Amino acid sequence: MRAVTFSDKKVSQILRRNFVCGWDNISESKSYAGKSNSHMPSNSAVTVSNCSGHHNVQMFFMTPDAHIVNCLPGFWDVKSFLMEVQLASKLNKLYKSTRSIVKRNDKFLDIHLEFAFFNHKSLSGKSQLQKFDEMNLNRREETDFQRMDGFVSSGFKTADQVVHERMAERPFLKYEEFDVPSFIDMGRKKYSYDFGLSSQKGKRTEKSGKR
Amino acid sequence: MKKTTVFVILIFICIQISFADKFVRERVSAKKVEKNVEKLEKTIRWHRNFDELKAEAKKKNKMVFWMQLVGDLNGGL
Repeated sequence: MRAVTFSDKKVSQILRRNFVCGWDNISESKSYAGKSNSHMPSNSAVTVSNCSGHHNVQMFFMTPDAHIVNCLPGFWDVKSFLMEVQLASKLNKLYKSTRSIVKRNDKFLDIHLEFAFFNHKSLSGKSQLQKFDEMNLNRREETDFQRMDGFVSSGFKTADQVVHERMAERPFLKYEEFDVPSFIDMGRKKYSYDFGLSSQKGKRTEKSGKR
Repeated sequence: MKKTTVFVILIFICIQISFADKFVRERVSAKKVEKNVEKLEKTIRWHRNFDELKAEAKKKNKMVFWMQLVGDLNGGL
């Protein structure tokens, strides 16, 4: 994110103007924090598909009184990120509206599901699951990634769809109440990579080919 | 000649459309990563304390953008 998306002029401008921003290192404090090789600013980087690194990065968009309107796990490219920011702003306006809580929550659900459905075309190509995550989900008896046409399974949904389906179930939750572990469960928690790193960092650790 | 040019342009447009929203892996050089991280720290004020962040957001009536990372935004990730 820091190497590509946040350095985009439009992204940094929007974050600076419309948001109060902050970050926290969760490696020691949260059990769901992922584990991977350390990547320094002095290392080169490669872009990955949206939601990759879901256990390593979680980005929350909240109302001024810290109710979550959108959450993005992992990496997101510039275009997708800007679409998600726009959605968050729309939901913030909804939160401030004078509608009843029930109507507001219903609208929250509609907006997220509509977004999952209508923006899917432009996001899906960039939100394919990484192979090791797909394999991990494949081994499970049940997952909301599985697309069902009636009783027949018809492959996996893309990560962007699942993010918004999961958000739709969590209307305006407080940050403290948000169940991050289940929200970011999109496959493997631990993996290693060699993005721009030479030597042993990207070595295969198991004969099965797990990295 | 004219037909060929139109045909080539159409093929080019089709290729552009088909690649428009597909994920393309890009490499970012170490120099650029370093520069971007430096820029990121300068252009945006990043809070480290969630309660302080909330208080400022409430005061300014601005939305909150909070990021949880395994590592440091300006260091090892």
